[in-house]
Amino acid sequence: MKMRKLSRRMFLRLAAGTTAAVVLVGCQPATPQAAKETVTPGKPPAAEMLNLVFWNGIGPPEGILMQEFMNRWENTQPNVKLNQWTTDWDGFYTKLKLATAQQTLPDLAVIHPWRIAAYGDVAFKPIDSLLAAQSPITANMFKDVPWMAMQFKGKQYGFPMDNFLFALYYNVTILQNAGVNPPQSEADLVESANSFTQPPQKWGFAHPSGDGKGSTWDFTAWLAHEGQKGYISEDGTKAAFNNAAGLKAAQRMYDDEYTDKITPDPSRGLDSYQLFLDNKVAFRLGGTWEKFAFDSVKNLTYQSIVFTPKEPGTFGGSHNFVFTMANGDQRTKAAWDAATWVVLNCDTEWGIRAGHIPALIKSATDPAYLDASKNMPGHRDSVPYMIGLPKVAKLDEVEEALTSSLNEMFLNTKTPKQALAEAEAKVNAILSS
Amino acid sequence: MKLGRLKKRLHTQARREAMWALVFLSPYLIIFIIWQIFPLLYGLWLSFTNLDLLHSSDVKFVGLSNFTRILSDSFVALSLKNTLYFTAGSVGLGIVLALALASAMNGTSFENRWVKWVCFIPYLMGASAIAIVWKRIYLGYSGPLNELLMAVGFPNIAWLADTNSAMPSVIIVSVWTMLGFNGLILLAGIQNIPSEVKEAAMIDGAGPWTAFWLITLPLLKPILFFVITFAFIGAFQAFGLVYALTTGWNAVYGGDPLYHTLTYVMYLYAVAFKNMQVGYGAALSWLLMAIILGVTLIERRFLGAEE
Repeated sequence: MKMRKLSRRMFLRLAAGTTAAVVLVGCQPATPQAAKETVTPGKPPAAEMLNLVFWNGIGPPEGILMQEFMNRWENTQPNVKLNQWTTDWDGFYTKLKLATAQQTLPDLAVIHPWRIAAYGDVAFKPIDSLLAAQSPITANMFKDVPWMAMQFKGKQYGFPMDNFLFALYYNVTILQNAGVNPPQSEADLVESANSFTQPPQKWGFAHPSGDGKGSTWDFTAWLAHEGQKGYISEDGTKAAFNNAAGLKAAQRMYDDEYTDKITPDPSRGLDSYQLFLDNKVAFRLGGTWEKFAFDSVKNLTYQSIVFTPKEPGTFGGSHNFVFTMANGDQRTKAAWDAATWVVLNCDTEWGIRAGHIPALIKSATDPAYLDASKNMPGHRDSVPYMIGLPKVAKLDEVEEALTSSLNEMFLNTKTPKQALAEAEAKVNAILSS
Repeated sequence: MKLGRLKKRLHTQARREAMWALVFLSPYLIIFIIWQIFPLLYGLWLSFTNLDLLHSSDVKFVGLSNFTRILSDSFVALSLKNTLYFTAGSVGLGIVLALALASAMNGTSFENRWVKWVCFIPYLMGASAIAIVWKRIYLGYSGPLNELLMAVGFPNIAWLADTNSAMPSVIIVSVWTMLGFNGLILLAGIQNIPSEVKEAAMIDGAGPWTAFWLITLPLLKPILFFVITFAFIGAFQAFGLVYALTTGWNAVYGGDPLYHTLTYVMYLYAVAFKNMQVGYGAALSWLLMAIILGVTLIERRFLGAEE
């Protein structure tokens, strides 16, 4: 049989027709598949359930505990399906920003109080209407400091689960062996730390950041220690750290490394947090969240005191529940139920197991919590003296600008005075833009 | 008359062929315009605005103020410096090692085929997987590298936490990742050099090193231009690997320790997608494009392929 020859014109027509057919088929809308019905034992079908979305930036290990609490609440709700997302704070705030821009926010989230300047009213709403509507919680059930931290421009934007803050940890064994009492003032601290320092392995003092970088949490703590409330002006428009208090705070941080040499060089990568766990550091300015790790080390005996009793002042914050209120009354009510249930039923356990200080007055004075935190009285007693980060919308930029200058100081490429002057110029430029 | 009719017929046929060519090219052209040209032009427009995704309704045209902001932004200078350090290290060391590897692989024995496969595996791995593996290798006290060093009497090194060693450590990982890919391309170039040329050089008394330097390397110029350009563009846009290796859990800009590994694209990413300042981020991306284009043109001037 003679094969019919395919002409060029015929080939081109066939190819064009095939391409057109492929494009048309590909552009058709997908036939919606029937939703696969998921059935949870003891709960109605998926179509009748209320889907509640909760985002939690408290990463492991405490974040897993928060998940557990939320699961307990979900088990009391036959008609609610809870979708939880737990991650670290960097991932959480990145996703939160995108969700705010796209208005695809969760129903419920946990945030730090200083974030409310960026998200208040753009993402999360004041809770006055929820508090008024026969709420199981009221303001006077909470301690003043954490409750008021969620106020911004006269409105209450959420309520706290806890307080977390720095206090002065000390290694009980090292101090007992040296016959030294815990320091009552900064001068005592420096003198004691000096006596324990034997570089490169033994150090008297460790700053809060493991790698010793010029973190703003550390700087805020030292500023509070000098009696100043935060590093931005109260109206949030300009830097407020290039002054006598700021210089004293920065100079102290610099002297620890270069003058008194009681803390390891951060640029050499010595992890002072790990050194404290290894019983090689006598004092550490550290947070409530470190209890988890400290308790897991068998031969580490620690205690905390106020930083320092004669000149108290430290950095601190809280974890707070916030609500979108844009997804309908039913979901808002469910989110409020979840958050209030967790705070009322789990706040004491949160303090015991996570190490943070409960925000509810009844939980903070619960004998079980007091017993579990008996080696952290410094943290409990420091709550009235804690200062948080500033409530400004461009907090990330401000923090990075200040950190970069403090890092120059830690690397000894700038004096404290030069570092603060440079940081002030950068921060003012950011706040005025 | 006959000639005129022939010309007209040819002209109509040429037009028809051109039309069909356009028809077949149109799917790609449409995709190219939508996904390449439009974003490029839209990005240029954005660079003249103050678009902040958290307050997108307040967007305004701000002229050149994003570009003047770049001049006073200390993080731009810092990240460019780090990027130049990373690029010089990873491209310089990478090309030299790739040339050495290609020269060593230039054979057809069974062992060489296996060497090619093994060397290419890192290129196929994702940046996150590579970062996980190397962070383990670089671990301070219990990492295998430090254990080996301490076993032979050297002190422990905080590879990724010490400001002196952090960027060199990242460069080593980058060179390791690209070695196989660059080596194979250069090997193809070496194998394309006519053997008669090398044989003639040998007959004239040239040693292996002289032959490599005076024969192989000049003839490899077009391939070298491609490899260096490709490596430079990749290194200057370094993000995934460096970010995964060095950024801590609480960082916004990253680049630990103390911003010593903060690259330009990491900063651009933080500005545009963490701070949500898309307008300023677009300006930063155009600056990046200008730098890469400028260096590529300079490179072409000195190393460019001869016609």
